[in-house]
Amino acid sequence: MKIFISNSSSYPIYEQVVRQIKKQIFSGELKSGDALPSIRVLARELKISVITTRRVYEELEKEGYVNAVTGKGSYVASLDEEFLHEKRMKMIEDKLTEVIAEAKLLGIKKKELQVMLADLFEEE
Amino acid sequence: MLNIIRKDWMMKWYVPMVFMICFVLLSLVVPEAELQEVFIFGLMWATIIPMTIWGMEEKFKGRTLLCSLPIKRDTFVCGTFISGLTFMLVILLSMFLSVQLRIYFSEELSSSIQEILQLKVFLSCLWIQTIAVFLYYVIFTRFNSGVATVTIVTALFAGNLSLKFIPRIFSGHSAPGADTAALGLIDRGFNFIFQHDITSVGLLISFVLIVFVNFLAMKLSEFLFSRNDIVT
Amino acid sequence: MENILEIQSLNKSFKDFSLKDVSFKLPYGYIMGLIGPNGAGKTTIIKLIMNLLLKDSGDITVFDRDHQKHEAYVKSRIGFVYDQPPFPPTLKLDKIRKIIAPFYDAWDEAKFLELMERFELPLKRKFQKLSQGMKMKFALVIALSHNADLIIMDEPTSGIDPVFRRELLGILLELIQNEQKSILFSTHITSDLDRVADYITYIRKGEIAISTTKQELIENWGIVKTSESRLSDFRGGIYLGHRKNEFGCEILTSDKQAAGQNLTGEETIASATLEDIMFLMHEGKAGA
Repeated sequence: MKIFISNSSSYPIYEQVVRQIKKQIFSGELKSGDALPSIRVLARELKISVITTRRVYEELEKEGYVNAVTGKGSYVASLDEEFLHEKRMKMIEDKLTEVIAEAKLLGIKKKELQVMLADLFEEE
Repeated sequence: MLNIIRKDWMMKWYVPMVFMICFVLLSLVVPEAELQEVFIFGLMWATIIPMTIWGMEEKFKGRTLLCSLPIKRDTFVCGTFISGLTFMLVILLSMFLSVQLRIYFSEELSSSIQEILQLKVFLSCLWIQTIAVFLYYVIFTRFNSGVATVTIVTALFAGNLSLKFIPRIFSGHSAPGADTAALGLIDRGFNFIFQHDITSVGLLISFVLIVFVNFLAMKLSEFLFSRNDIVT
Repeated sequence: MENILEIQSLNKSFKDFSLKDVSFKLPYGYIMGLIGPNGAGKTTIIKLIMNLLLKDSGDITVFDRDHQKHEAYVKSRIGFVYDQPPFPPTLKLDKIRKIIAPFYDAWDEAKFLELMERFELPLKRKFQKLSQGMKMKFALVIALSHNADLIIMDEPTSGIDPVFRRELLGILLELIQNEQKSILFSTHITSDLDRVADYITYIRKGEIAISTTKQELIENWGIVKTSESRLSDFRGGIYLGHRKNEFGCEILTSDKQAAGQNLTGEETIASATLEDIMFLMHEGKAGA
């Protein structure tokens, strides 16, 4: 498991960690049933507070990515493709919502944005 | 408690060392006639030793350290007190030994020096120390070494003055041989003890009283210290 | 049973300063940062816990025991690090160990030597010859060498270089891998040390301004950037302080969500850093 924390990121530390763990679940780096480090070990390794890592696991559990087994630790939940796809879509949707809000603020029209999106997609 | 005594000895062993070396040298070189005076002088200065030890304690933030270590405040007070006394007792004993040595090697044993080495003299010396320490330590624990020193010095000075102005009260006994009146007082004290044949029961009572006064000093200090901020 | 340290309505007054009604709790297994400007009373609180100063009133409970009635017991399980370590300056570190070790039943010689090596401290050097940073390190070695369950540190970062500061974070987190151990430290600069703190107690002019988890501050507290004219709209229960400048106004709020619903146009809301919080609360109350 790889996690990087940036002090200059606009996201608070716990959100950075949540996002990175999620990403690794989406990409398949973390498979269902994989054990996650304990709250205290993760805090030690990342040099962040215990309550922050606890919050990370709570968040992941609430969203269904992780199962906590009392006395044993946390494991990546068994996630079916449909669920993952839905979550991935949700993530992109969130980002696009941000983009649209920004576009509206700058006075960019819906048509222009659609064209831009199509063009950028082609370039990739 | 033993740990505190251990700590003090490890930290400040050189203080009594310097004193002892000075005294031993002095007692070896002075002429026989002046040995008694040197001895009395040494007894007086021995009282300075525990005071120095306690004063150093304060200078090195020893109070903050000791009171942060796992001991009670009371243990700190009596530990420091007894530790100071051990320094003094060691010095007193070594002084007796060195005077003994001097007499042993000397050819003409003077009878007055023989008298110095009696138990009753040792006890009467302890009285000087006990009273001085009582005054000093109680004030020291309540305030600090500075205030305590000033008090002691003032007391000595006042004692001196009063002796100069009202010498006739004491004139019944022999005149003081030493140059200062304070020494004179002690000299008279000795003369008093030598002239009146104090029985062993008297000595015992005296000894018990010394222990009691020391104990009282300790308890009074404990009481005062229990309502004292160590660092302000 | 769940708090390693509990302070309840603690009062202490001096001629020119007083600590008023201080209460906070530190549970087993966590780190608390005691933050606040210079002279706010952080050191006084620590000295009161250690019973170096006598409290006027209030309760201090450490390991579920009264800190005065069980003084020796409580202190045997505390590791202390003061900003001016009170060790005898003329002695070598090795001698200081010999003096201190017998006071603790749980003294761990191997641990001591290991830490001395790890921190690169010379056993044969006199304490007064050490730099401030090294003195701090040595105090930390002593504090960690008797298996203490509560580590109390007063301004541990003073004189310590950034490299060791990072290492210190690791050491502290290593310590609380054991869920029965806790750490309380004070600092007047918001440093990277705050990153590992689970709880933050902010003390200002002898009173507790905030005592909560850092997560609460990060998730719910925020700074609204707006114009001065809107100041009154954000007053109320969630208002904590503000600061004006030429171009607008920063308002500290304890509820980002609620304040967020109030926003219009160009106004933004962002998470507050500890520094923001200290600064704005300090300014806010003074200006209010």
